[in-house]
Amino acid sequence: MSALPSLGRRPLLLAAGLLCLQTRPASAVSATLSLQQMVDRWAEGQPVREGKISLEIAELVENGNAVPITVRVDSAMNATDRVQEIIVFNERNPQRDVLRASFGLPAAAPSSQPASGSRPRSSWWPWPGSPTAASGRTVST
Amino acid sequence: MAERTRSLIHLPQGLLKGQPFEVRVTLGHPMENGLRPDGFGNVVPRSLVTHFECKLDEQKVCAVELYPAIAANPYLSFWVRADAPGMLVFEWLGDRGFVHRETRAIAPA
Repeated sequence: MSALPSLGRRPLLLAAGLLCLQTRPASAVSATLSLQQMVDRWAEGQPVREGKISLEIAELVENGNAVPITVRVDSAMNATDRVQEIIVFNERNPQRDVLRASFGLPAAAPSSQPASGSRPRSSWWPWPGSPTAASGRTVST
Repeated sequence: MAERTRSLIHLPQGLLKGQPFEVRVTLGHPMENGLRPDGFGNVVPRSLVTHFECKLDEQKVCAVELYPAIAANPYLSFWVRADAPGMLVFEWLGDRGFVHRETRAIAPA
């Protein structure tokens, strides 16, 4: 009487073990897409062209937990020619996404002459550390 | 848990119509990624700001998705152009229903 359920249980356990073996690598792979895969997926197969974008980041930072980065795009930002989305990926992070920013019509290109008081000053920064880097646009680790 | 947060929004003085100006925003937020242990070895529960949006009179200026890679006190800066007086609305959304909303009236001359 008890042989039947035990016979039934063993293949079940084996199957469960196999299922774990099968699902773990699969999930691990899907969790860590290569940077190229991430970019391809976002670009929907469009070829990636060089240029127009510059990423500014300090080589040496005081606080590695908060590193300001600046993304500059060469764009007129008018009604017809404009940046729709900026995405920052980090190749070395287990989770490759850092930031995704999409822009609407009021978003503008930086004016060549900075408006008064447009540079970060330490006086408006109440938390430890500072956003100093001359024009930190985004803080990321 | 309702977290008490405060934000800093910096707009330049003397805005001019049609001239881009820089908006800098910071939200005082720990951005806990749910992996870090506290001083007692207990894991600090995840609490992240996942979304930021800035609107000018219901028109999207920028919508940003923030991921765990973003540091504490997320600081963002971007450029906006306004042709008429309006209201800038800043909204941060996060884990467990976190919402922080600020508004600033602008009147470019």
